[in-house]
Amino acid sequence: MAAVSFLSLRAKNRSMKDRKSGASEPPAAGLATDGEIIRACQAGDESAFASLVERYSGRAYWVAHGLLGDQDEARDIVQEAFLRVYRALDRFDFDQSFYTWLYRIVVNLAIDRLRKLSRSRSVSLDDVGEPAGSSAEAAPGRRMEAAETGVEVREVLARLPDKYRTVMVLRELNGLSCKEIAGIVRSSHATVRWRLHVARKYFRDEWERRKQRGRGGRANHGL
Amino acid sequence: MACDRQRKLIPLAAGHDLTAAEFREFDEHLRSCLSCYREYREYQEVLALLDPLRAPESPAAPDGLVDEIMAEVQEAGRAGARAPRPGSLRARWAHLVPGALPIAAALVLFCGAGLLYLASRGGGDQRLPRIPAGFGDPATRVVHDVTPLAPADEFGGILVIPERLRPGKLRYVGPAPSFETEPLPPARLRQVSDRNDF
Ligand SMILES: [Zn+2]
Repeated sequence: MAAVSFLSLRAKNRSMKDRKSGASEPPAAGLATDGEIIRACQAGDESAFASLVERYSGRAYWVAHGLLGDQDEARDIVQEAFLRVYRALDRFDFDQSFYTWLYRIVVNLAIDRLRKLSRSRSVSLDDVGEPAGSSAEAAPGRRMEAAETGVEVREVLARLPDKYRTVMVLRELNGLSCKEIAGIVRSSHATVRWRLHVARKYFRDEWERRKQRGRGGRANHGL
Repeated sequence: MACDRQRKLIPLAAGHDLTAAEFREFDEHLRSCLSCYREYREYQEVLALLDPLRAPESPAAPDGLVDEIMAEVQEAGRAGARAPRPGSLRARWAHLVPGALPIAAALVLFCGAGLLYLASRGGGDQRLPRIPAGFGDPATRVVHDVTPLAPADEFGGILVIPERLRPGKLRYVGPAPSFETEPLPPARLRQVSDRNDF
């Protein structure tokens, strides 16, 4: 029946979405582990710290960007997060993974920044990622429409309370597993799943409401 | 009843966040329940709206970001702003007497600041310097160039020097590694949050 084939189709997407942070994977042969690098940093090797930055700044940037929806703010947050890591590296707890710690700092800084920024701040079209499948040859009208949808999606995300938005962004935009997210936000796996449930429900309901309002608006306009 | 239970799983199912056991039950239910199946599809369609915002699979840092971070880190390194090693005298102080360091430091520096204030009374600027909280050690300290500092958010944390007071620096000399603050670049001149968890 249709449901069966549909579920198996979606399973293909699953592997795409469930891509790991990459951080928890063992390093390729010849590359130092995070623990080795951190010990070198603690011994005063600044170039070792550079390799941590190279390894994680891209992902950290996308975590911040997912939460803030702004390139400059995301850069700023990642810089600040690495500076904090640098200052506190001698106290690093080797029982936890480096990326869990780094992402936690990034998330906390980003949430703080969001609180400081006006909640009604509008999202710029420049800050919405290029939609998948869009290309330079795509019709300008279609690209504009996709960008507008991206802005609306960001607005709906921005309306979620912090703890729900955090889980939603880490899961949906950054592809982290619920278990990884639990470590980052220091909650249980069950709590993360519950928040994800609430966040997705809110997201879907809010999106439907917007669509209804849009239809209503267009219908009124037509009259 | 089964439908109610399975319906509650839809938001998690739509994002592939069910356990294997939950998934088996849910999949079985979907074969016979069109209503749940439709809702499941709706969820998937709405969640797919987030696809364009997803991070790339192996994201590289944006251009220049690594260099910017390393420049800041090198600057912090020159300022000797690394946190104490576990087991260092500074760390043990902070561990054994939580809260004592900031208070002691504030008291000592308050006295120093008071003297400086008195010394500066004849001048045009009569503002009382602000005292750094959470900075210093009760043993020995030398303060040079009178730099009122905004509070650091934690011992060894980021020092925030008001713009009007730059260039200024404060030298800390104690049993733990000594360090001297550098005037900070404008980007760092802001109060940092204390919400970090380390
Ligand atoms: Zn059903």
